[in-house]
Amino acid sequence: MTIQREPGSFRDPCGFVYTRDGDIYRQVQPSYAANYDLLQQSGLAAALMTDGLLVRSTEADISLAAYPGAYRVLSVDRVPFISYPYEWCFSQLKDAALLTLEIQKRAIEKGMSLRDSSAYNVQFVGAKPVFIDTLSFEAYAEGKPWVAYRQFCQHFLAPLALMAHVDIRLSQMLRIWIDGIPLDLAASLLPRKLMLNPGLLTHIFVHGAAGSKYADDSGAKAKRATETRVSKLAMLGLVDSLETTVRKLSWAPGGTEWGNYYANTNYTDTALKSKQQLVQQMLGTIQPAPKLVWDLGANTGLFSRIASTQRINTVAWDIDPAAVEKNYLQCKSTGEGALLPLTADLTNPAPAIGWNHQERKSMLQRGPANVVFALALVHHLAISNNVPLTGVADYLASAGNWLIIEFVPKSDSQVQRLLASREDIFPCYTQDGFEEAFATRFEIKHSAPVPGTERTLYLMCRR
Amino acid sequence: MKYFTIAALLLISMRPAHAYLDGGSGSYIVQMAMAGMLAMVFSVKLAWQRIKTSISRTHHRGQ
Repeated sequence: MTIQREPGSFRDPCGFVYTRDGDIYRQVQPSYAANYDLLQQSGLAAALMTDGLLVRSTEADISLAAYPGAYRVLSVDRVPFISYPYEWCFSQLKDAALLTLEIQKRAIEKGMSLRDSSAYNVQFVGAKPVFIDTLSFEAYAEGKPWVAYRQFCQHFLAPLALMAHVDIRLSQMLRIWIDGIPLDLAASLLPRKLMLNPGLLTHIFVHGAAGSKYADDSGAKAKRATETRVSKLAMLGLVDSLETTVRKLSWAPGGTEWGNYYANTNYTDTALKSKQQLVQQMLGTIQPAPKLVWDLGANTGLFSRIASTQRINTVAWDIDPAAVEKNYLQCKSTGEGALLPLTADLTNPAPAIGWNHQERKSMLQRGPANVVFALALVHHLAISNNVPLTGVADYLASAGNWLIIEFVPKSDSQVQRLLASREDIFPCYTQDGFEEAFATRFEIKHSAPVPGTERTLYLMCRR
Repeated sequence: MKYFTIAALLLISMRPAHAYLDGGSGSYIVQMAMAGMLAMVFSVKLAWQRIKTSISRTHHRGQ
């Protein structure tokens, strides 16, 4: 029997998440008893689970507790892949924000309220956001302000406003500020004209200024604040105002480098179809049948769908927020449940962050995948980022057990494009050099030329 | 000392029983300062939605 407490689940004294022999549990502590009973008796938990808004959990035998003294033990459904807000595209973060507000509205109707509103409480099952923190609810005491208001603005509203109005890449600020972007910082970065937007004026500019002003306040204004109550109507108005503000934020992916990738490749339609068939054939030969595929450099997920349409959980990683946005919107429109598009810069992948470097896991710590797709990727790592081919092999061996990889030779127009503006300092970047480098970490099971191109596709198994 | 007490009371009185999150006094003050406005705007919005729904129903009945 192995019990492992989830390192990121330590802040809340009311409970924590752990794994027991690989299964996920949540221990509810006696300090949460009254809120837990209200959550169940009010019907809120059941309603949210039925509607797919809250991760499904069932009460388990108390003897399965990680430590003595538990009030309840919950067996929790596993989310296929844990992702973080700094890996989401704009619409993923927006949908996670709207889910949080919808849950808060429903909670208030049932006499409860969210006592935190961390973006890390939301995970994606395919294109569907799901709230995963069952213990985030507390009894709603009318008159009290929303304790999680600032956290909501820091985790959702500020990054969404910055992504929409300043630069989509500012989502990466969430990697630096693990508890969300400080509102005074967000206010200083946003254009002043946004003060004409009532929602952003209130929730970012005024909120940020008040946070700075009253951080150490002991004055008369603070006293006056105690004399005012936030009625239930005002609380609902606050949530409605946040929802309206979030809904109005939008970002349209433009024709970025990768957003139009498939229109700019040197592939003919026939070559593209041949490559899809080859990938499908190679994937089909892998035993046991894979449960998790990582498609690295997935663009808008054309090849990812070869795996996800077979109900294999597939993470489509790409550096371009526009490609990830397009992929996610496509997943949403078709209701795909096995494909998760995420943003990743493979030359600087998500590190382990937070307390003791353990609160949020690195990209590789959340692997390995059963199968990694590295299609039209190697030349970007080896030539654009100067990674030696042995280094690429080492990385991919850490990422997955099986590898379907495409070698793109220097004669290919896409590599020629990369070399057009720089000196060719890559004498080892040849097909022989590629096979030699990868042979140290992988056994080549199969290889086949991609018809109509100068490229070769390989199926490899980690040694 | 008086101010210290007021500040302490403010922080203590506003923390729900099981709160482990610091909501921030500035954040509470914004909510309290905006409470009346938020409630009014939300009431108007709800009333307007009811009117729209009522008009829509009447319109459908007429068709």
